[in-house]
Amino acid sequence: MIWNRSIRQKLFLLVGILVAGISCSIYLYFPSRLESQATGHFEDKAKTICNLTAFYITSALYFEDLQSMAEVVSGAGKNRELIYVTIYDGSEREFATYSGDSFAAGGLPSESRERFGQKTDFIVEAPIVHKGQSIGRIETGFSKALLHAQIAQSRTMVAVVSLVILSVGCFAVFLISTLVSRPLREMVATAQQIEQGDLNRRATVFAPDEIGRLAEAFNAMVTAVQERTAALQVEISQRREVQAALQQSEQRFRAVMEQAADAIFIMREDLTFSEVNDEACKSLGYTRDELLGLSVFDIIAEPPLDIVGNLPERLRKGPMTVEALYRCSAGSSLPVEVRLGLMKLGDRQYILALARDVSARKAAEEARARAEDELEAQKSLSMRGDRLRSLGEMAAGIAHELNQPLTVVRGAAESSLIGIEEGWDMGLEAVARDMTTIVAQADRMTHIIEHVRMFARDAGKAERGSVQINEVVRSAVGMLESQFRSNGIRLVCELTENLPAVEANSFSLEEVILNLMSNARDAMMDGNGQLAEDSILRLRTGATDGQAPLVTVEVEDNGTGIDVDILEKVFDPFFTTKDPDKGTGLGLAVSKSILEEFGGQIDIQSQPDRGTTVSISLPPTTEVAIS
Amino acid sequence: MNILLVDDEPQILKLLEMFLRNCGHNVLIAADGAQAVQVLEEQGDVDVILSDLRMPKMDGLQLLEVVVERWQSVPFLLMTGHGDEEVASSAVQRGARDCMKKPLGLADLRRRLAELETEIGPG
Repeated sequence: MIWNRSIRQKLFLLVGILVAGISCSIYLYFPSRLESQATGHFEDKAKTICNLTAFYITSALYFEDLQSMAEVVSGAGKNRELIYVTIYDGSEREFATYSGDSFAAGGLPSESRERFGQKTDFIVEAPIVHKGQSIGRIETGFSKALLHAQIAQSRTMVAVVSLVILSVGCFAVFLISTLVSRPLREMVATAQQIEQGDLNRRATVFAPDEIGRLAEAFNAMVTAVQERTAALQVEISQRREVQAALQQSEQRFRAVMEQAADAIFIMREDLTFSEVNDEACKSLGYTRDELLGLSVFDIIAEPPLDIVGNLPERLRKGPMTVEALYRCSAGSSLPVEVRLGLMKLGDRQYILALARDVSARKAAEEARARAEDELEAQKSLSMRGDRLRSLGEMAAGIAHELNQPLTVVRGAAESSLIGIEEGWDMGLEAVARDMTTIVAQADRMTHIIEHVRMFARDAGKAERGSVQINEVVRSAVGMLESQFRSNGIRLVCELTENLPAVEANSFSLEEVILNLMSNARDAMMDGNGQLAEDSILRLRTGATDGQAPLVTVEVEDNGTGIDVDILEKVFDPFFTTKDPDKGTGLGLAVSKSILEEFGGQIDIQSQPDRGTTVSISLPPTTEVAIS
Repeated sequence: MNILLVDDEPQILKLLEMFLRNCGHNVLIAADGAQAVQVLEEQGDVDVILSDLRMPKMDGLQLLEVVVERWQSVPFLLMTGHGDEEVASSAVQRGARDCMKKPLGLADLRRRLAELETEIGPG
């Protein structure tokens, strides 16, 4: 169908038909019209020639003047279409004849007549009238050959013109259709490219005509589409980003929820559960669906529900942490620590609860408390052991100390007894001297025993008083002196007199000094318990200078010394380098704590193989303490 | 007998010196092992040595070693204090004639010295 064709084809066809019709019309109409016009014109001209000739020869015929007649006829004979002229007189006799270029009286010879007759195809007759009376007639023969040639020529011309018109018309149609269709085709191509996604394409605007405006409108539309598309793409990518962010947020939320070691509950304001994690379900022993059908009131055994009740109100002041007790599905309970806070999702308020199982921590706390108790007990036992060791140290000293006076007492008494039995002449003076010795030694023993008794009773007690440090040192030295001396240790006391008193428990301080002396003795013994030659233990008392003078005691030995790397550990409880049966490792720790109790300090300086000096310092009593 | 008495405790030293003199002995005294060795070297004529165990400088055991080495024939009586039982038995093994525990029984001491005197013979 023609309607399915392209505009170009339709235009081409329609205009082509039109031009062809016009050409045909020209070709068909104009030649025939020309022919009829030329024929009419030819016949009119022939009649005119005939009539004029008849008129001009009237007088010649009348007077039978051939000469004049020949001149007139020859003049007419100049018309090339005139083949012959025959003039008849009144009696219908051929008077004269003209043919070709000759005029002769009479008729034509028969061969000429035949020849002219073939050439002639139009004959005109006219009467020759003189004064109203016909005096003859004239017959003229014309040839239409020239006319026909002219007509044929004209026809050819028309045909050529028609062809030219047709050609020009076709070209014009081509041009027009091209002009019309090319922008359209381009627009179609552009539209197809745009359809395939190339929105940067634009139709070419060839001219500011209707098609140009169409192209402009089309381009404007494409631009609008492009802008809209870009905007849509931006919107889409934004939405995608938002969606991806939402998805990520959701994934994060899920991951946090499900991988959290804590139970997580999201509750509505009526304290029913909106969201719970696996840990929440697991710790309570419910399935998720079961738990989501419950509220806080169903799972909390403690604290009292009135606290739980006004929870949202309380949380508006800030998040809080509470200890609670789960009531699990199995009926058991579980201690938890719950962190509570408000959170907003959309325009709704929720309560976020993070619950941590603290049963392990509770158990650990209990275990630690138990362990601490045990440690404390052990420490106290060890301290007691150390106190016993101090007592043991003392006991050895006491035994030695008592053994001497006892030996003297017994010796004096027995000597007197034997003297009496044997009848020795001792004299009363000697006996009295022995008795005096016995009393003095008994007093000495009493003193020793009393001191030990008080030491055992009061050392380590909180009671304190004003104490002269030199007395304490002398007492300790008295306790160990004979033992140390018999061990081969030279005891050197360098005591500064008139030192200020210190506020302390004298027996506790004596315990410290006994401890330090005993450590010093151990430091001067080798691995086999043998003392080195020239073992000297110096005890020095004094006071520091300065604005706040301190009373000091130094216990210095020339023993093995202490390595630098263990020097800082010697005050640690239970640190010892001695055999387990010789030391608990608490001596210095206890000494330190005793001194700190009285506001004092203990310091140790040592050089390996050169000896150790332990210095203690105590603040002097304040005047209040003295009074 | 000539008795060398060694003890670092002056009271005991004095008491025993008086007692032994009353018993009819001749008494030499030393405050420690080193002094005792000095006396032995200087006097030579010592029949019995009566020594304390625990003394500064040279104790009873060290003195015993010297005596066993240089004056083997002189009997050595060791006086030990509280808790020195092990030392006492080892001293006997090393050549001490006897050990006596403080506080000393003077009657016992007198009897042992008498036994020694018999053993050595008068003179």
